[in-house]
Amino acid sequence: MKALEENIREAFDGVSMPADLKAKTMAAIAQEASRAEASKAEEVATERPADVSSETAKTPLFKRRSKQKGDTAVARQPFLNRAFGLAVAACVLLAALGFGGFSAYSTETAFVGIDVNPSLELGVNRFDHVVSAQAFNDDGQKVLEEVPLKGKTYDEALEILANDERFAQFVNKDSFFELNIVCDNPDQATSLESKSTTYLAELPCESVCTHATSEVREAAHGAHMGVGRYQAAQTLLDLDQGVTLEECKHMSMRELSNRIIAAGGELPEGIHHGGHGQGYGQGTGQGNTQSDGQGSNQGNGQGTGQGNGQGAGQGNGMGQNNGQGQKAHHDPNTHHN
Amino acid sequence: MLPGTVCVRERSSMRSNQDIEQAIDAYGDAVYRACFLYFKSQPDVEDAFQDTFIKYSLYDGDFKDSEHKKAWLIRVATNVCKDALKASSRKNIELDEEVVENIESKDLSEDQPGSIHTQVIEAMRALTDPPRTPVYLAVYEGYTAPEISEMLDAPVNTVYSWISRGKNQLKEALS
Repeated sequence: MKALEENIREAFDGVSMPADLKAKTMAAIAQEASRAEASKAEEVATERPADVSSETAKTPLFKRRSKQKGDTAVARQPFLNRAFGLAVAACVLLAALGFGGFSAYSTETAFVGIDVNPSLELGVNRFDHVVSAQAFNDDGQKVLEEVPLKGKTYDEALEILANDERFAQFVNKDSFFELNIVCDNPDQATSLESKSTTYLAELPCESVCTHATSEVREAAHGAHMGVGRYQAAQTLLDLDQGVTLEECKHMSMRELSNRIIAAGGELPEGIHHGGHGQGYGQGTGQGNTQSDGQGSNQGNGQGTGQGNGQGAGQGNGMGQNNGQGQKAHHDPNTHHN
Repeated sequence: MLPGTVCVRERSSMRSNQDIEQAIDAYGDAVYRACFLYFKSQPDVEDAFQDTFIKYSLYDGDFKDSEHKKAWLIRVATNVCKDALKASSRKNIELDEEVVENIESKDLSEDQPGSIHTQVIEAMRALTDPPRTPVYLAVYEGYTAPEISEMLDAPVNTVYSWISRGKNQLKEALS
């Protein structure tokens, strides 16, 4: 019996590209080129459909009678003309809407920046579809080459990133993931934030969703950085004069975050702690002491704990009792303490 | 652009037709087989093939040599196929005669009788992925584990495990 490897080689040796596939592929590529050219076309708008009123008011010159040969043709004429005119108008309008609609489809109304170590930005249109994508470093470029996001809905793009093994290698429990939204439309900004935070909550690492203005985005791109990384770099530069912007470009978000904290700075609010991260909590302890009467006291304690499960970690504190009981004095003439 | 920085968009102009045709002539069979590994339906294989070369036509980067280009095309082809399968499973659309069950649950005796080569291909398609792609790249395309590690962005030891596991599963299925 042949070895497995030999059978595999022989099996696939018999598989080759059909003769007509090259031509079909070149045709498909030509189509793609045309589509790309069309996307650059200026918006064509028509005010109104073509005038079709001239044909609609005609009435037959002779009295209608029961259907006889020839009548149909005469009676149909005005209707045909009107139908043809309407069809032309519809085509013109659809073409106008098509160009206008395509322009609206391809226009970004929001930009979502992803900075972990890969640094990339997705351009999202008003329909929450990803219509553009660009990278700001080699890892970001690698992600965009291997993980197709353009053309997907924003939800689909997040789902693809969540399930993609190639992206997952950049997102581990020690990472810091910043997702930044630049969007002038408050409704879309809120919607994107909601979808983004749902995605971030499932990550194993610390993450945060921030917002920025178009001006900050422009400044970040001027420095060839993603918005999240740029903002973190600006924070660190304010705190540590010994760091340069160029150095910050090559730091991971985790490194930037750690250095900000070490320099006495603060990270953005609303950080999600990874599902399996550590949490710090405070606990309260109660202690009971008894004296001659009945007494109770409370102690305040501080505890440290570890978070487990999804979402933010919760600390379980063990309090130490530092209270002292007080003897209760029973006087039938007074209120009880 | 500052040196050392990378800001990549899809290229504003596509690669020349001559470039693309040369790539299809040189690597079309390799890309076709990579797509064939995923789909039983001819239209699906051809769609994935065309999508791969569309991506090639739009790709902005340079290739070190012909082997780099071939590896890039095969990698993109497998990603195109995986994404198509994911998209279809999300939309509950069944690709024609698509086979994605785990090989352990597939009873090959239910297949129509065919040559050993047909059985081998069906068994390969029935593997989960990984180890399907690593086994194919190692056994048919002749890539080493370190090369596959780089192509799939996976640790080398993981690639070795995939190849070993995949071969064992194939032997069981074909015995």
